Amino acid sequence: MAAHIAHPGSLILALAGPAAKMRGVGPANPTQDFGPLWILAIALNVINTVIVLYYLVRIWRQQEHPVTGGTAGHP
Amino acid sequence: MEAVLHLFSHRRYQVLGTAWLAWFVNYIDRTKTAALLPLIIASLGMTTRETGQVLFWFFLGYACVQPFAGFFTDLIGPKKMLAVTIGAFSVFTWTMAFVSNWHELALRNLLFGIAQGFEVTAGSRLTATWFPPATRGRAFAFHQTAYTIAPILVPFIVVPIAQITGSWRWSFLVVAFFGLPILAAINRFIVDRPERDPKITRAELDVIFGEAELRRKHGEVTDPARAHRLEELPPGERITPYSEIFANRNVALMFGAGFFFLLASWGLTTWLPTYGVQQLKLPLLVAGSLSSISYLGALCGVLLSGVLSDLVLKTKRTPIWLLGGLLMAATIGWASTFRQGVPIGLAYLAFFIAGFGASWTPTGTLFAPYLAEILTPGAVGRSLGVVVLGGMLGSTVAQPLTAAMVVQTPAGPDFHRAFLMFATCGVLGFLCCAGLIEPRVRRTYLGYLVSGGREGTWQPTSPIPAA
Repeated sequence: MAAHIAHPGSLILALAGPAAKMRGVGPANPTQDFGPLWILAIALNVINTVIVLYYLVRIWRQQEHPVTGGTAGHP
Repeated sequence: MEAVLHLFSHRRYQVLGTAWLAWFVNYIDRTKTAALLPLIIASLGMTTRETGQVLFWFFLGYACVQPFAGFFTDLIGPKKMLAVTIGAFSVFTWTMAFVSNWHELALRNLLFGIAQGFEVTAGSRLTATWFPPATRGRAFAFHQTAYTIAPILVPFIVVPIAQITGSWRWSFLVVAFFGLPILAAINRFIVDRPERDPKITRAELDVIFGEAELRRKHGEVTDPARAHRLEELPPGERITPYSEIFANRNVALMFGAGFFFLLASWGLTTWLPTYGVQQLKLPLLVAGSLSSISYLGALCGVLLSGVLSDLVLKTKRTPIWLLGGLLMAATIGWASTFRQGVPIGLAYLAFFIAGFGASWTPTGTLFAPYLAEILTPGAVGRSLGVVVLGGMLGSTVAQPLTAAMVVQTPAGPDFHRAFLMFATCGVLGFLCCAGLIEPRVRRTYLGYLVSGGREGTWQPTSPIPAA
């Protein structure tokens, strides 16, 4: 598959050279990869999910109806 | 600047701007994983076959939901659908940061594909509903610029984050937050239909629907397939039974055109850098830029298509697609003759035009205005689901078909046959478009030209509302 080669992101890596290529790789185990920042990563995800759920519930509960009998109420 | 602020004081432009952001985020979603793949592959120790699987599952999820995406959009409304896809983007993006093997990555890509597959029908339906036919082409062209800009910008966001933090996982954690302001914008700016928006002015409603249409219709049946009388419908809609949506030659031809055009354009842009390195013997950096130049051509093509369709062609849509198919076929056919030593300027020109032509297709631009005009804005979701399904099937088979067409020669891989296949797809897509009814002239556009500009007799099964 060549999709990742096709992407301009690969070009930045190519430009940066072999040393930079290794930067950003990290271990396969996410706990090891995040290291001492593991708690921060989890906290960010909890905040993110709570905000997403807040907006989804808010939007889901909205009801739309024609404004005052069609369009008569529009200024 | 003042003109832009004035423009965005109109509700329809606020809706369009929010739909654009949602579509942009949808493409951030697709391209961020691709941009970070070299790092993810090294981190998770993935083989080429496993990488292929990970990419394949996204397309599979995306294609599978298309038959339902339109129904759900029309059923629950584009606002809620858009909010669900952006919410899913935010949540699934951070889960990507916690994968530890390729199986988990493939599963999350499948879920991504399913969630993102619902966005295009929602954004398209909003644009079709909120804009009058006279400016719908330009509005939708602007909406479509998102899919050309995102692939250009995303690597410059996600790769530096990975490099600075030392892990690709932080890129996903940061990008997950991009969905939140868009959810806030959806909550604040989007209303499913103009006449249901308490903030819209009467003057803007007149621009969108016309005075006569507003006086005539006050209905609340938003599904045009369920209405029995014209008066039951809201302004801008006409009765459109299911038979007219699905047993429709135009929708079937757009399905075919979508299949051929996306097979060619995805096959081309994915394999261009490999072709550049292996056949033209270009350095990786230059070969990779062939893809970028193709996206740049698509950006210019999308922008120009709306202006041409609305202003020069007086809201005709199909001539743009006919030109696009021919342009794409001719340029890729020409590029199939390129060999090592071809001037790089010539290669850039060819792939810029190829990208430009590929954007002038029923899966690149103007598809929402066309479906709104051949059917009705309220049926854009369902009919577009069929068209996008054709396109996604083409995208899915593009990779293995292209690989099978590459011939191994003593001088290295030869892409001549693959390029001829793409050019043939351009011709087949053109033929599909040639059979499409152009609603403004009530016959096919080629028939209109051959008859010396005489309008035809095509009519929808129920009357079209006055513009």
